[in-house]
Amino acid sequence: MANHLAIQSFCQSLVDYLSQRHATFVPSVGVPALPSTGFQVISASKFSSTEAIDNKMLTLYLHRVSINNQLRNVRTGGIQGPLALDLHFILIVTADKPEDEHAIFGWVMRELHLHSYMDASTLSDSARWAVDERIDIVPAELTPDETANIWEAANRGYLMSYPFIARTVRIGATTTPDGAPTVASRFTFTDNLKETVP
Amino acid sequence: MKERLDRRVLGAIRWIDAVTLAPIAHPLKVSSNALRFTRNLSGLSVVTLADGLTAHTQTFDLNSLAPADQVPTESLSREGEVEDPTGTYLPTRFTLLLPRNPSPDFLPPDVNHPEPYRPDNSLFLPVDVSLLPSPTARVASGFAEVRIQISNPAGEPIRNALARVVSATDANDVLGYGLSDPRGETLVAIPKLKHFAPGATEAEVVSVVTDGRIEIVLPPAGQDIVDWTTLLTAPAAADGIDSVVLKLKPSGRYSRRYPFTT
Repeated sequence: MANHLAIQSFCQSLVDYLSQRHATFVPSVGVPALPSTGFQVISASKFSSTEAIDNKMLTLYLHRVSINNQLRNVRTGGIQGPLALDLHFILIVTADKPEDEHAIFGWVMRELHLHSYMDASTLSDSARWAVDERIDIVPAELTPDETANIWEAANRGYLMSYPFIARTVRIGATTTPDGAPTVASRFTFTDNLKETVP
Repeated sequence: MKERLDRRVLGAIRWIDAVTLAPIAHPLKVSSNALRFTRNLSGLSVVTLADGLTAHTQTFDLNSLAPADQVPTESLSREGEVEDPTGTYLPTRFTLLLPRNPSPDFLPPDVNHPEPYRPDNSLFLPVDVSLLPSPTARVASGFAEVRIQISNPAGEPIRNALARVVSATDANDVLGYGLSDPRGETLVAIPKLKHFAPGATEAEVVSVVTDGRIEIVLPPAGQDIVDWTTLLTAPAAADGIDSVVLKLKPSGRYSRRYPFTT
């Protein structure tokens, strides 16, 4: 369970992880090195603007956040459980040459397939994730129509993309109790109606 | 006619997973010859009775206690044991210092506490007791798992031996702990190992492994259940320092046997 910075922390941590994997990638003998690329997370305002997505860039865009249906009512202890969110991303790769674009795309999809989670070793500390927190990365089921709708609303040309979901990001309360726990109690019985001292 | 029924609790224990530091949510079996417990809705084991503090449990205002019933803060030591019916955690012995500090006042902020805070021995704060996961516990993804079979030279398993994994470069940097079960099997789960580190230049990133070494602390004789925290700072057995350096990585699995052989 994390604090309100969970979404931001997850996005940045995933981008950092992928960029570090890219930087330390060692190709097998006879296999060309990965094309160079940058890594970024873009905002909704940039995605829906006509501003071009930077070239030679692996871009993450968080296009939807939804409440996780399975964990909506799960809680232990308090009256309200943590907020359980699913983060819906699309991943875009841009490059000068199609072979570079396809090489990066294949590499990053393999990374997300083989290391399909983020945990304490890869999540940044800013969101105060629990030590045993695990955010799974699973492929999303977007129909061609849904994909087309996203790109139509974006005011830009269509780009090849890969949709995936990160779940479950749990955001908990950080408030402290209003009062101290009850440590002593007194029950008084009296038949004197004028008695005021408990 | 006027009747009063006063009740007071003496403290509470919060059970903590020693690896993740998260509270343990499921009920545990707590027993003691000197203490009585009740589990509350927050999962705390509340101390409702203790040897030598019976008068405290029947008093609303501590100032009204008779002088003979007044006991200085933390002057009594009471022991208990906790077991996990699910087998996820190993049983451990614990010690409570009673009575707890009953003052409701906060201490002023200091270097470590930006806001007013309660003292660690406050009655209004639960005592944290950490439990180590048993070798059969499910290990979270991303944790390195070091499994050690601890036996004596005759091959008989040693129960309650503490295994600690320390950094190979700095023995004071402890990466994780584990305790052997009756079969001598021990699990040391190590969270938060890093995949990458800065390289020679600011722009360079390199993959890293963490060099670790196992140390074994043998348990005191004649105890079925031990307070594993008392073994934390104990020196390793004479032959209890492994010469093999483990190359630890997130999600890595490692196994060793004690007595160590290269």
